[in-house]
Amino acid sequence: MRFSRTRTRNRFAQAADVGILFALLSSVSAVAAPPKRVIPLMPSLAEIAVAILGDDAAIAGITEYTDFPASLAKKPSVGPYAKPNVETILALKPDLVLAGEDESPKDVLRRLRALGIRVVSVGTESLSKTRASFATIGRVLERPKEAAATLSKFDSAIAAVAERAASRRKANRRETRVLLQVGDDPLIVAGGTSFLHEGLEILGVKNVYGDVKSSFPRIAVEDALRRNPDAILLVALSDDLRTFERAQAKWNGYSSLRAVKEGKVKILRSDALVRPGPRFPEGLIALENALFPSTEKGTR
Amino acid sequence: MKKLGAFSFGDLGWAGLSLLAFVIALSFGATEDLSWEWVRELRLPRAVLAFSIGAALSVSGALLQAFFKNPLCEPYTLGVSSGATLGAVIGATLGWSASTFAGFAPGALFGALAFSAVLLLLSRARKVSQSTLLLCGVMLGFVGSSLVAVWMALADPAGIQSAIGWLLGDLSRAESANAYPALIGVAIAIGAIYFDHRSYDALLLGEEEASSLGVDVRRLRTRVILWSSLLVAFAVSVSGMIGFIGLVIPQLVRRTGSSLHRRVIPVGAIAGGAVLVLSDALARTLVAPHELPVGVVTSLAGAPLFIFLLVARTRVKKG
Repeated sequence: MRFSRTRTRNRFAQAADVGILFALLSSVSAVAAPPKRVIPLMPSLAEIAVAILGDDAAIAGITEYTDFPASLAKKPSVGPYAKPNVETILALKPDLVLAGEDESPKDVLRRLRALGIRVVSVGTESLSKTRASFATIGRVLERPKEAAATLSKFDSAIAAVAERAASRRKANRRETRVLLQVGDDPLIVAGGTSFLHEGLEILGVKNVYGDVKSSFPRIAVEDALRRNPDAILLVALSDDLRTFERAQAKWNGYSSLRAVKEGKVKILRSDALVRPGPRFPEGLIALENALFPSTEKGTR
Repeated sequence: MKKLGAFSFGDLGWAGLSLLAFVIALSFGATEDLSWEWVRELRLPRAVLAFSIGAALSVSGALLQAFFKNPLCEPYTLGVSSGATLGAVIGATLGWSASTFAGFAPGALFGALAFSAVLLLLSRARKVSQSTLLLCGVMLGFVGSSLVAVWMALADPAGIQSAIGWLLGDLSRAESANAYPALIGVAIAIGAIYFDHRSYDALLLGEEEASSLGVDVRRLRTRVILWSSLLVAFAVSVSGMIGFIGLVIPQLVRRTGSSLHRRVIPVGAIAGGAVLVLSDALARTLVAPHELPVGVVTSLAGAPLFIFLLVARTRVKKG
């Protein structure tokens, strides 16, 4: 940590090197005009920014797997979200970098800041943090009204899902117990502190791993069998469907499992569900449709 | 080849290679469009750190190979690196993790020093022979890596990704504030090791012969363990496990000229540094904006090259 302070001082010396004019220009532009070259360091942050801005003209670069809206996939990539490339980011000359509080690597962010790049971090690991991130991103993009509109759309979509959950609860008193699997080999599920757990709560179902105080714990198959969920949902990300088909077949081999007996081991293909952004309610509806096919709603 | 004392003209090749490596490392990266300001901030410190670590690994490998008279010895043989890894992952769970400035370094340094202390204590014991000490180091390594595996099984998968990346060698945290002090520290350590170069030459004749030549083998042993552990602790804590260099570079240097340590230590340092700078430049550029783990590059590029050199040399001899 001692180094880091020395370094900050170095940076000041460097700034003088670059020239006061440049420093003035950049600070003025940061205040006077909304950011024109934004690099969101997570797919979900790109979605939020585009939802607020209305188009992707101001997005200068993306991280891998940023594919919604589809036009974003054509933007230059700065690498995987877990390890974005500092050189590539700098070469794109961003005036704003949006980062995930826990997801984006801190050393990269620290270095970008030291090199004079404006970096704004937002939380994404709970729904309340995601909701708050709409406002933060709206503020730094200088589009607070659009951000508020995006948020209220998000909230009303969630409220509609919650309403249907309440009516289901009235009709059927027994709670559905669900295992939400996000990775296979090792078996990784949604634990009690993840936003997916909150999603299950909104749907009025019980997460069988809700008691585990970790976001995405690795669990033993035996333990999953003991918990005997009513439904097992495998959330497949775009490119590894085959892995999840194998995992589904594995579950179906345990014929005494309640979920197997009732034919409720299902693969859910929804990128929206695992991205804490404006499309999360869509993902939630996909999850709802998989769990309760009879109450299927075309609501968007 | 004309001899310049222990050195040969071939050694100029190593010096030339390291210059070339620096030029390449500064010229290429994830992007061509980078101003000198940023090259100085990003690529230069990284090349300097790579050079320091390459030199540290190569010299500590040379030291251990000479001391244990075993060509398969390398910096990671004595288990100090497992101690570093263990310290790093424990540090990560305690929250000193990769999020802080120094990344895994504080935990890794602590673990490496703790394991080094155990080794040092063992080496001070009167009855422990050279080979017993070597075996103890290897066992220590097993204990360390098993405990790391335990941690890996229990930890949150999210943290594992960065831990694995780091284990395979990662120089991406290099910056001016750590690279230049690292270079100075490594230079001092190598200087201290160089001080004993005659003793290492004597040791190659055997322990008794060395003793009869006036080498205090037990004291030398303490110094070997101390310096090699410090170099490894530093290298692993800054950049994870970078294979190949500590094992092969010293052998390559011995094969390209005199085996006197007056030559092997400085030339080994320069050669190790050059090879790591070059490997890191490759790791950064080949699949940009991704980065390959630099340890993968050193092994993948270096091992076949070494086999080729061995075979080519044998052929020449036969012919």
